[in-house]
Order: sequence, then structure tokens, then C-alpha cells
Amino acid sequence: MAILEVKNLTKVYGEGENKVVALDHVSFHVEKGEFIAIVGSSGSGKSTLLHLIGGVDKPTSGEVFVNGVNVYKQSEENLAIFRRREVGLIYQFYNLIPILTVEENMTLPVLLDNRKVDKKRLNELLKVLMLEGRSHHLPKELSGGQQQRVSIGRALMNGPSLVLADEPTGNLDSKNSKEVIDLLKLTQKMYNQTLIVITHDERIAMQADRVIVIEDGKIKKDEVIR
Amino acid sequence: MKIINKLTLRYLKQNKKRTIFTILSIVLSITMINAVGISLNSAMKFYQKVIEINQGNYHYQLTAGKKESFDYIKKDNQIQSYYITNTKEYNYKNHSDFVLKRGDLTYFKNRNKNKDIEKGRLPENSKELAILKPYLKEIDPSKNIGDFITIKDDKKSYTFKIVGFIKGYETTNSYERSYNAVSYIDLANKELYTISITDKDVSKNIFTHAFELQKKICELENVESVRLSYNSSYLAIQNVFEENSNSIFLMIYRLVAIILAIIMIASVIIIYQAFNLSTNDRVQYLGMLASVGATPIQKKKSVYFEGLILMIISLPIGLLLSYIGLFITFNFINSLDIILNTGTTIHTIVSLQFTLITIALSVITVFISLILPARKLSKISVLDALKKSDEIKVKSKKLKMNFLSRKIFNYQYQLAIKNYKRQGRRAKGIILSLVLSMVLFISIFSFSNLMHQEIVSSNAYDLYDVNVNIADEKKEIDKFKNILKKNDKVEGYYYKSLDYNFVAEFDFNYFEEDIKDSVSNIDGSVGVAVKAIDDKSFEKICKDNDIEFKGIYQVLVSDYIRVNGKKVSYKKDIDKDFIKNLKYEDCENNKVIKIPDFESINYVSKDTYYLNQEGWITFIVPMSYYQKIEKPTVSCVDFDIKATKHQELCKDLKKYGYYPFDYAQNTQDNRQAVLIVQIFMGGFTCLVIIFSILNIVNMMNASIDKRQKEFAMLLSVGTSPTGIKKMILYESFIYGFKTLLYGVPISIFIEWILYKQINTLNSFHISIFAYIVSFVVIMFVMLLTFKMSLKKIDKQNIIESLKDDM
Repeated sequence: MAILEVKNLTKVYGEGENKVVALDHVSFHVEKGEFIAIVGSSGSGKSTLLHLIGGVDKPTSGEVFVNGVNVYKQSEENLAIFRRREVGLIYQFYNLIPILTVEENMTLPVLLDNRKVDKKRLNELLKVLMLEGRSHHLPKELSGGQQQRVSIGRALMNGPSLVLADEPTGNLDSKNSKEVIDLLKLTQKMYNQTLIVITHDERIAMQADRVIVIEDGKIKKDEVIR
Repeated sequence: MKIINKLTLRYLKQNKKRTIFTILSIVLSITMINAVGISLNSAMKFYQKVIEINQGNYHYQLTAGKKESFDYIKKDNQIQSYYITNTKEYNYKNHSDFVLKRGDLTYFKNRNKNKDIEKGRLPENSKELAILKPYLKEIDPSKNIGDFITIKDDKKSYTFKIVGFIKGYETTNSYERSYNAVSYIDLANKELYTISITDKDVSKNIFTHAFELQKKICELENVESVRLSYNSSYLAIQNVFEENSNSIFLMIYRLVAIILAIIMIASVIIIYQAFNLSTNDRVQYLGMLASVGATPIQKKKSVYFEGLILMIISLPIGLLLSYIGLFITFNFINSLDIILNTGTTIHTIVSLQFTLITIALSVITVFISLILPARKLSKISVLDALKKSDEIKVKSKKLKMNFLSRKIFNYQYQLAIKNYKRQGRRAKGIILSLVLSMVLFISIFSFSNLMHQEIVSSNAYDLYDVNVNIADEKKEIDKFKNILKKNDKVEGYYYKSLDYNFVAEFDFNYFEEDIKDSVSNIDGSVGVAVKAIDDKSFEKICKDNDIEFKGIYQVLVSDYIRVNGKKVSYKKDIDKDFIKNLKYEDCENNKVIKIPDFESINYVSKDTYYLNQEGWITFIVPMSYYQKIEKPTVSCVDFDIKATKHQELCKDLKKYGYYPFDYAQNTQDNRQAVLIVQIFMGGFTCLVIIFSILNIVNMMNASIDKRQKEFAMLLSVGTSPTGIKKMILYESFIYGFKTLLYGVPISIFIEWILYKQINTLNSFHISIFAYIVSFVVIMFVMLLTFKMSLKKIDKQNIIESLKDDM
């Protein structure tokens, strides 16, 4: 069974003359463990697609199924729980909470669930993400690359079904960018994660199993490359 | 602790200024609510003591005369205590005004012996009495303590031994009569007695019990009815009201409820804005939390948690501040004569009941203030939160500047106007709170001024301190003048007659308006009030008005007449032709008394209350002229005396048996009552103004904080720092200007309404001083927020601000 199914997903902003169709009846599915890169030019609708898959935005029409559950048929409360447990979101600008430490930022999804933190998993992630010894630092005390790694750790802490990364290297230099992508690939393999990455960087796209090209809100190409 | 709560606490610590502002708002709210509670409780307890001193602590009174009735009352186990009294007039020699008050043992136990006795002691049985010394000297100067005195009523004589002199007694209780002597009751005398009863159960059951007692006593007395009267004020102060009562206390409770409602509404608005700012700042954090799975309920709870923490901090501070503030205020009020003369003082009384009510109301106020920010936060979408696009959405056409504005105003001012407009409801909130403060301040200032003019200040030609009324007989007048001459406290005096009603015919052509129909009687005559003043004072009035004193047949009249509430002046100088046929109509004896012709008439421009009765023309004449009028009835004269030591003078005059009215004390009491009201109203207004200032400083600061990136962008494209500062200065002044634009006409309107409520002859004028103060304060607040904003901009680094996402 596909872990993700998108059916006729549409997102329209504005009305009348100001109407913008960001996504136009997009449909595709993703199998568990796939690494998918979504590419497209600026304004093509790729970020919108990612946000709709992650449940952080509402579609105008269409459906999204994650693990067989219709995401947008849920209540606001259940949608939030869905984001907490089923999805790990990684943003271009990290979006860490500046007054929480590295450890607290990473364990946020678990703490929001009122569950006890799995110290073993936490320590494992800290090691893999090369953040050992930084667990009590605040985000402002970290470099851009380190902050993005914290963001990855947060996305993986709860063992979600999907990891969605929106231009995760957009704010990083080439060295850090390579590090982040390598880590994403590593953790994807380690935890058999389904990973969807938005990028405009072809080199990153070429590392994925499958590339979906979006243009003007529609899927132009959906190619398995590996 | 839950992560969201931990995050909230850290945020509060990190943003100390914002947190302190919010705490101050809540503290002010709690202070005001608690101050109302403490004031009400303390005032009620004070008034209860005053009633106990002046009227007694009984609940109701019944009359009875038979032993069976007294025995029945003695056995009634619903009664906590009672005492029996009787006040009656007796004859002694030629004097029929010997008023003796008798009481039982309980009554005398309750009397304060130290305050009562001047010399000797109180009576201990029904054969002894204590008497007012001046009264004894008047009726029988030969008697003293130790002598016997026999008084009579219609039926028999009663002999008493004089055992003491009691101090002067003035009753403030309308149900009590003044008396000259006290003794014990003798129930063997078959007389009617008043029984003052206090029940054990202080509740509405008092009325049922009193009614039952009344019925029973009627039965025992074998009469149709006996008098039952309630000590209504005393009961009301203990929240026991009769059916359909229109007691003033019910009105006070309603007033207090209204004041509390106003305080709570104002508090909700201000505290809501404080929390709104705080939650706006946290939108992005909470957006991030939402993106990782925080539910709307968790986000909402974080707002309530913030409210809870700030409440816990603010509550003890607010309660303490209100107590301290009122303690200081009551200490000051207790030094005023108006309180000193009551024989008791106001204490700052904190009751558990009122404190719990304060806490409950404060919690409700804060909770209501949090509802909207919590709901807004829970509804905001994750993406909007992350992008910080939580600004008030205003349509672009609202931000457009018209052609004229673009031509007149420079670019900084245009940006300032746009920034003001884009704030939308937030800006309106600031303006509203500033206008509210301004209107409240000016209304209270105006109200105080009006009260001061109408109630307290006197337009009397010559202010006096003490007034004594005596018979218009030469013998009495000379006797009193002699007493005043010998008293060193008297600084000066004059005397005048009371109004004596004459009629005359007038030539109405002398008046500016046609007032004939308004002032004439059916027969065309006009009422004339004639007041006489002693000759010396009459001459002084002439001198002060540059009028030649032409002898005793001279008449003075005011330079206007009051008709239908307005002043009507004369259009030319008056002379003898103005008035004809001045006479007194003795309707009782059916004769007309003609007045000796006066020789000259002048009007005085110095305002004097003697001359301004509505619809009447009032004359002042010299006393010598007045005494030549053949008056059919004995009238009185008023002696108006100037004396700095007015209280002591009154005591001296009372010893001679006169009844002086301490006008100076009365005026002082009125002034002090007004002062007390002004203190409380002023205190309330100050708190509201502080509230508003906090509010606007908080909101302007937050607005500047949020726009750091904008300013950085403006700087990066070439706007000078001076240009940015000008833009913010203009923005500050837009708020000030808008406040005055709305506040001034609303304030003038309210001042006019207040003026109309008071029936005054003074013309309407606005309280310019209050407007100037308001303007200065508003400008000060604007400049303060401007200065605080400048500091942030001066510290700004362009690139850091442009890069900064949080």
C-alpha cells in the first residue's frame, strides 16, 4: 500500500482578477521508504504541495491520504496530532524555537504528545547528527548547519511516516548542504523513512530515487531515476 | 512541567518589559476592584458606628405602658437586648418646657458617662435627676446639685434630687426629642414608654418578629394599635431591607455594581490588549509548535497558562496596593472635621468575603481578556504563523492617500499615515483608551468645579460664620447685642429681618424684557420681599457699590431679577417712578398697611443672595426704616456673626439658651464632603489614566518592535535615520491629534450635559485648564513612546535586522 496518496489536489489563492492557482489537480502516490525530490522553478507550487501533504495548509479541493487516513477529513485537533506523529517537517529557515535548547527542540513532538522521551533514540540521533555536546545549547549558539541538523533531529524524533523537507539546504553553504543531504539519506536508510525533499538544486535531486517536476501547479514529469 | 508551559515561562522571562506591562495592567485592575470592596466595607462599618452613636443600635421600637407587655418582652427569647425610655414635657413654675427623659438600667449602662456629665453624676434611681446647667439657671437660678426640684404633669407632681449637670445635647435622630434632664423610669407610673429592641437574628425575620410583637402588645395593652418604627438605616447597613424598600443603601449597592462593571469593562479592554500583544509576539513560536504537532487546545492553554502565572504574581501586589492606598487616604480623611465631629473614625477594614469577591472578579476579568487572544491564536494557520503574516488585514484601498494629501504632506508623513491606517483596530483601540481617559478626566474635573461653585462657594455679600434667629423685639435684640458685645470671639455681625412679603405696582418699561406676565399676580401687583439690615451694614453696602447713603428711607435692589431661571437686567437707571403703592396686605385682619414712602432707590451690582429669589423683586432697607412699618405679627431677625472660633462661640451661645446655626462648620463640612468625593473620583480617574498610558506605551512599543525589519529596509534603501525618526514622530502625533479630535467635542458635550443637570445661573463655560492638562499629558505620552522607540532604532544594525527572522 502506498504510504502517501495525493488525489486531485488543488490550491487556489485569491479571487477574481487576483486568483492564483498554485496547485492544479495534482495526483500521485509514494511507496514506503522512497526518497523523492520535487523540483520546479520559483512559484511553481512545490512548497504549496509539500505544505498540503504535511497538513500545515488547507487545500481548495482534493484529498491526501497518509497510511490510508484522509488527512483533511480530520478535526483540527487530530490534524495536529497527525503532524506530531506522522510527519516530520524540515524548513529552509530551520524554525527552531530560540528559547529552547537543542535537546528540547528535538524532543518537542514527543513532549507535545505528553510521552516520555526515549533517551536512547535521542542520544542516537544526537550522535548521528553530530550534535553530541551541543544538547544544552540554544539555537543562537549554533551555526546554520548545526541548526538545520537540529531541525532534522526534531523531524525524526517521533519516527514519523513521512519526512518532508522544504529546501533544507537553501540557507546553507555547499559544505553544510552536502552534510545535510548525506544525513537525510543516512537517516532515511537507517529508519526506513519515506523522504520528500523540495529543491531547486539538481545535484540534490539526482541523489533521490524519483524526481517529480512541477510547473505552473501541475506535475510535468514524474521520473524514477534509481 | 509540560513543554508548552515551560516555553511560556521562558518567554515571559525573556520579554521582561512586556511581561511587566501586562502585570501592571492586571495589578491596576485588581487594585481598583479591591479598593471598591474595601471602601464599601469600611464606609459601611464607619456609618454603622455613626448610627450607633447618634441613634442607637436597636433594630426597632415599640410603645407600651402595661407591666404585662414588659414581662412578655422580657421572656421573648428572640430578643437579644432592649431598653425602655420615655420623654415627656412637664411644668416647673411658669415654664412648660421641662423635658425629662427617663431610661431604664440598660439605657443608662449604654450611655457614655464620660461624655455625658459635666459635674456630679448620672441618676441612679427614679427619684434622682441630672439636668442641663444653663436650663436650670434659666428656670430657677437658686437651685444647684443636691437640691430638690418638683415638676408636674396634668395628673401629679414628681420630686427629684438634682445629682448632676449633663452636657449639652443635640439630637440628630428625628425620632428623638431634645431633653433638659434625665432620670430613671418608674414603671409604676402608668405612662407610655418606648421600648428599643435588638433581635438576635439579624435578618428579614426581624420584620416578622416585630410585627408579631406589635400584635401581641396591642392585645396586652387592649388597644387597636401601638407605634412600631424601625431603625431603618441601622438595619440597611446590615443588609436588612424592608419589602419594596427604596433605601439609599440599595442605591449605593447599585452604584457600586455599576462602578465595578465599568472597572471590569475597562480592565478587560486594557488587559486584553496587553495579552494580545504578548500572544502576537508568540505567534511564530506557537506556529512552529503547531507545525510539529501542537494542537489548537494546547496553543490556547498556553495563553491561559500565561494568564494564570501573571495573575498569581499580580494578585498579592494588587491587594496590598489597594490596602495601602486606602489606608493612607482614610488616615487623611480622618483628620477632616467632618469625620472628627462624628465621634468615630474610618478604619481600613478587609473582609474575607470582599477579598474573595475581588479575587473572583479579577480572575473573571483576566479570563475574559484572554478569550479572544487564545481563540485567535488557536485559529491562526501554521503557515501564517511561520511567515509572521498575522498583521491586521487591511484592504489596499484603505491605505491609499488622496491627491491633496500627497501634495501637501511629505513622504515621511504619508508613511506615518499609512502605518497608522494599517494598524486598523489596534490603532482604534489606542485612540479609544486615550479618548476615554481624556473624557473621564475632564468630566470629573468639570463635575467637581460645578459642585464647588454651586454647593460650596458662597455669593453672600458678607460671609458669616454663625447665624442666630431671635424674636423681632427691641428688648430681645438689645439683650442679644449685649451678649455679643461681651464675647471676645465675635469679630463682627449684622442683623436682618426674614422676608416680609409686600406687594407693589411696577413700571415694567424699566426692564430689558417684558416680564410682566411672568411676575405679576392676577390683580397686576407684584410680590416684593423686603429685607432689613442693620443701619451700619446698610451704609457699608452703599459705600461698596459707590452709592450715596441718603438716610434711612433708602431702598436697594439687585441690578437684575431672576425670571424663569435666567437673569433679566434693567435697561436704564431706576428711580422712584419704578415702583408705586408699596403696601402690606394683612389678609388675616383684612386690612392694608401702607409703608412710609421711601425717598431714593438704587440698584447694586455686587451679587448678594439676599436679592435673588426667583420671580420676586427683593429690597434691602435699613433696619430703622423697617421698624417704622406697622407689622401685624411678631417676626424674627437673623443675626449673622463673623467668628473664626465659630464652634466655641456656638457653645457659648447655647449656654444662654440660644440655638445658633454654625454656618461656617456646615460649609466646611460640605467642602470636606466634596473633597472626599473628589479624592475618590480623582483616584479612580488617575488609575484609569495610568491604565491608558501603559496601554499606549505598550502598544506603540510592540508596533515599533515588529517593524524593525521595515525600518532596516528603509535605511538600506537610503532613508536617513532622521527621516525614520520623523516618521515615528508624525505617527505619534497622529494618535495625539485624533485623540483631541474626538475627545474635545465629546468632553464639551458631557460638560454641557453636567451643566444642564445643575440649576445654576452661571453661564456655561468649558474647563479650559482641564483641556490644557489633557493636551499636555497626551503630548507627553506621545513623546515618551516616541523617545522609547528611538532608542530601539538607534541601536539597530541594518543587516542584522534584515536577516533576523525572530
